[in-house]
Amino acid sequence: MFGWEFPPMKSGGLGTACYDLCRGLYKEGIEVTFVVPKLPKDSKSEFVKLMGANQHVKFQEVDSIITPYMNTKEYLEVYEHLDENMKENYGKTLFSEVHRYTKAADLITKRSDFDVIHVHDWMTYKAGIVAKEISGKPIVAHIHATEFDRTGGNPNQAISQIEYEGLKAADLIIANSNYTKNNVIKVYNINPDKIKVVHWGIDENNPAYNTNEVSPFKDEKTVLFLGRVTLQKGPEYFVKAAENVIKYVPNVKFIFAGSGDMFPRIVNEVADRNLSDKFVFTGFLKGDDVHRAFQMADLYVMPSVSEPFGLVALESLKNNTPILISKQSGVSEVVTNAFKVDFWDVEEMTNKIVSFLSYPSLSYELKKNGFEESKKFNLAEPAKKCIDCYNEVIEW
Amino acid sequence: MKKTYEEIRRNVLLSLFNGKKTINEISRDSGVNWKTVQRHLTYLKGIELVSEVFSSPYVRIFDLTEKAREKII
Repeated sequence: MFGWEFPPMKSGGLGTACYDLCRGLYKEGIEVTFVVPKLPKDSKSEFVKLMGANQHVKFQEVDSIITPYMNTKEYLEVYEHLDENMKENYGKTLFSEVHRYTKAADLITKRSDFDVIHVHDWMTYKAGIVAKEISGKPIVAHIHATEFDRTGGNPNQAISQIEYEGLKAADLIIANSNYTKNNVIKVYNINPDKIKVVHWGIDENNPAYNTNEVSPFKDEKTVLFLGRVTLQKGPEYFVKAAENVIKYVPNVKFIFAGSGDMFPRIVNEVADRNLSDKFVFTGFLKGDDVHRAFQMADLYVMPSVSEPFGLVALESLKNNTPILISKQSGVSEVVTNAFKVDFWDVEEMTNKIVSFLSYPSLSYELKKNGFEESKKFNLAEPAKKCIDCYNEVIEW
Repeated sequence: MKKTYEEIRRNVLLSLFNGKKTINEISRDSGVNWKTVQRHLTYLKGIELVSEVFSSPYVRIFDLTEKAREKII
């Protein structure tokens, strides 16, 4: 399995999804060798010790500075800040770094034994193609997010090319939602029969879900945004809705958790709209802090412009916090007890937030039913579906 | 040695003979620069030897026309 993130190293949902998938696969008796970029020095041994299921996931490190959501400009910024002697170790551009990773994958493939190659998103697709050429084994290409999702119609052509070639070379494609499947068909003209949909699940036994954190804002309702602060996640729609909500429900606090390229702009926009005393910026949250943030909130809002799945929405429900989600998301296909709006419809978003905050019976029902619904999600189901995909390509 | 227009276009057409391709794939197959391939595809479209079978902001896919296949065979 070729991937970019594995907790504790993560910058978004991809790491969590891969981690949960590996745990689910292990429980079904599948042995995974997970090729990752370099982990921090002490994380490997701690991680293996702490997470028993992962002792059976073999790690092979490839030294890299890429994160899954980087664009070429962000890569250059990271590269320029490296020590001079470190720069020799990395490609000077994002694509040369992908190339370097692919070369390393070549060596790893030659000394590994496996039945299926499973690749996650565009940066690993070339590595998967190389692995197939060397081993003759089939590729299952997992698409967690397309260039369409990341750029909203303004793609990096080189990334699109790599994405397309990876999907074309794959023996089978796994999309994390029908929404993603339809995007892949629409933008890349891929045969629909080649694409299977496996919706993500969550770790139902994570103890962090039961910590029962209480909001520090005693007399105020809290509405949470949690995610990367980037175009794809629609943070500006959250701010616009917040401005409207305050006119109807003055005693509300908006918790803004996350970091990203749009963060400075959002902070300025909040100030320009005179909302600075209504917003709390927490920065990037990870691990159990994410669950605490959900538990402290009365409502979680996910106004994504294009969300391939939206695992955080399920995590919110599991933390007993109702959700208002974008209709342009994969998770809206599998969740019933949630508010759903078009991401651009700030007025409707406002209506729903105000209704939720104003009517206790509504918030109570949504909270109770949402939590009950979260019980149907687990790690076993997506793992079993992935195994079905593996069996399908192996039998060909 | 620099290739002539005819050689480049022949390489592009031969690349497409094996199936639909993107500009990137044709460029790799034919050994011709991406931008050059794009320009020649425009010409080949104009004389109905090539058709653009799929187009999106993310990928453009080309194929030979029947006319081109008959010529090559």
